[in-house]
Amino acid sequence: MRRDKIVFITLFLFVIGIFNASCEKIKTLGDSNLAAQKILLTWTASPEYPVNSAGGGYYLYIGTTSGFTEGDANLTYTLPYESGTQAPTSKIIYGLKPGIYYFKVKAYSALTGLSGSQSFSSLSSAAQFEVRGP
Amino acid sequence: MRLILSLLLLVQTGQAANLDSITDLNFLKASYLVINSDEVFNREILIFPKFNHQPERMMVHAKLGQLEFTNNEDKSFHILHVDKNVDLNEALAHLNADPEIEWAQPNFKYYASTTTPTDTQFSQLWALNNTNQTVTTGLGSGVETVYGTNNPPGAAAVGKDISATKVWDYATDCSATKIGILDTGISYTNPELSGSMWQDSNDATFGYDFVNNDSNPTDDNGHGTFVASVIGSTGNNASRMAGICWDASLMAIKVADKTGTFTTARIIAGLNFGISKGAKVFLLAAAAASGSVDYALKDAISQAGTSGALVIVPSGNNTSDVSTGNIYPCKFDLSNMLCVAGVDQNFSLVTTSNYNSSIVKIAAPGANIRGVYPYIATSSSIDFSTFNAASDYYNAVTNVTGQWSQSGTTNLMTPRNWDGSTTQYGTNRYSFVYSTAANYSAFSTISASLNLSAASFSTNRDSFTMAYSTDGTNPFTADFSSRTLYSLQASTAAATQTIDMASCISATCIFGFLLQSDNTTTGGTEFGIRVNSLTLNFTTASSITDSIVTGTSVAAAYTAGVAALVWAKSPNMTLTQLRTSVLNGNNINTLNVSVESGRVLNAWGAYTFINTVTGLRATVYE
Repeated sequence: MRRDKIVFITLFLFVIGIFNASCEKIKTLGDSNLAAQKILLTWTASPEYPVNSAGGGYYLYIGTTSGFTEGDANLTYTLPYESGTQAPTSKIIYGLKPGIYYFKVKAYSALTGLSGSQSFSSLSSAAQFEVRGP
Repeated sequence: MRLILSLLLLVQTGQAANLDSITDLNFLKASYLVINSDEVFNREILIFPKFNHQPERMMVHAKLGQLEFTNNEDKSFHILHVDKNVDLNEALAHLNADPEIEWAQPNFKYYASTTTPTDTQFSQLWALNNTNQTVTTGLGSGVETVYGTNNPPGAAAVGKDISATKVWDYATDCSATKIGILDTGISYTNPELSGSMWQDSNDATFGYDFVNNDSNPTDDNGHGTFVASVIGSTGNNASRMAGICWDASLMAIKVADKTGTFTTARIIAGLNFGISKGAKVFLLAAAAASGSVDYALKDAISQAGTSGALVIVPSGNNTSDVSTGNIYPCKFDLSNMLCVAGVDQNFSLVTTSNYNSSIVKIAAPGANIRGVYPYIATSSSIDFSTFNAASDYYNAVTNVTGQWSQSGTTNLMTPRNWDGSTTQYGTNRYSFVYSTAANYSAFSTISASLNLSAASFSTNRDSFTMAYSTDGTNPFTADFSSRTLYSLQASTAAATQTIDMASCISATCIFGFLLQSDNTTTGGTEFGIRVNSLTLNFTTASSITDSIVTGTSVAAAYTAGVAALVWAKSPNMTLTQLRTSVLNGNNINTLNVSVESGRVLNAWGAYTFINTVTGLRATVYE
């Protein structure tokens, strides 16, 4: 590939990047003027080594009441540890219909705890977020 | 057994999923006809179909359960989740009869192996691996005092331990967590401990001695070395002990003297020293009943928490409720403390262990614990018939009207024919008896166990005294105030006194007893005292001995070790998270009245505990 082509493509990607960044501004919860397209859910990393090593990770649950349980969750995601120093601590989701949602997180490991079954954390407290219509 | 052997063969030869190398599939198919459903994971059967098969063809077996197809090359088998109403054996037979299936087998469960270290005394360490063993004397040369209850505990107690062998599959090294041992120092050259010592990078010291105010915190008592060995005796080295940590970073902070006495000032200085050197877990194996609150110590321990350090303390050994008995520091009940009670080999509270269902947080093994002791221990029961002035049952010293006497050779009595209720010792006594000179110069320590019957004295007028001399003379012929070992000036109940006699370590040690009375008789109750027995306990420094100890200090030590082990593996844990993890022990109903958690420490439980996730946040983008 010619050098001038590389320069052109790099510049093009840079401009696209600026364009995207300017359009993707963070919307505070409760702003009813904009359509929600993307929701970033984050949490503090569990410090336990078994969570942040092979076989460990998080379950992410989304529900519509603050008191929902794992079984009541409308959406469930598994976020396993893959590599590095910790399991993923965020998840981007799309396409939720307008409404009030709650999410909760539960950490897990591959180890069998004292109870004789797989070791989990308790289900976290709920965090609320709102998806507004267009 | 046939199944197990077959499986072992597969695993050992690495052929479990390699069909080409298995020559006797018919044997394998037959061998799987006998299975124990407990050995099968989630009622799953692995189906290894023939080469180039059509996965849809397997749907004929969907009536047995739910099929999960896998098509990637690394996982050339399918999984059948067998319905609960279908017998696993029948399902296996059905599948293995299918000509399209090369072979089907259970999805067996495997468990982490348990690591058994090579340490020669490991089989005695019930706290780490309870096999219903009997903890026996004679294996070490140190002090070996066996706690008689639940030794052995019975077959049902197998596994009542802290699950050390299980956690050792994943973690044995605690050295990333510096552990401050606030005690009588550590014999840091002991071969079981030298590899687990913290060492200051600046001056290569192993800690500090706040008793003698120097940088040589070696142990002149034995207690500190023992608890340190429970935590960090080098493991799997084919020698003697194993700590819960096979490798550790033990900081020797000597704040207790050779008699095992701690002081507020020294503990505070020791805590500050440890904090400044980065200690994150402290073992403060001290307890005392006190009517007053030691606010300075409370504040110092709390400040250690501000620095992110966890302080482990014992509940104490008074057979007492910590609250009503005012046992400190346990009763401080601070958020960065864990107060620990002791249990025996059957997870029953040790009879002497203090308790409280809100202040004491957890129990841990605290009876018949074998650990490193830096001394060889010997003892000698004193024969009073050899005492001067007692050979004729009367004190023969000129101008003394004493009436010491003995019954056979078992005791000394004041007055003669002492019966504790009628014969009084009289006025103006200066009556004494004393031993012949003995050479104790080779010993490191001497302590006396003095057993006395109930005493009845004229309070503050008359006295009973034990004193010594090292110049070969009668201890009571000159001012002996600086050579007094024990003194009693009031009536008291029968008791055994433990007396430090280190000052009598010499070539000519003489010790004896004196009864003094003034010229007044008060109330006709001056019946004196009887010395039932006197045993001298000697120690000689040694680097290869061990002993058996019962006490909550040991329980606290195990707890400190588990805390250090978990924190070393998960260093980002907060103090609160670590504390919560450590408290995740075995739930024992009978302990609910003794410790808050009702639990016994468990290293595996602490290691596998996962704290609740926090910090959840949602960000909605347009």
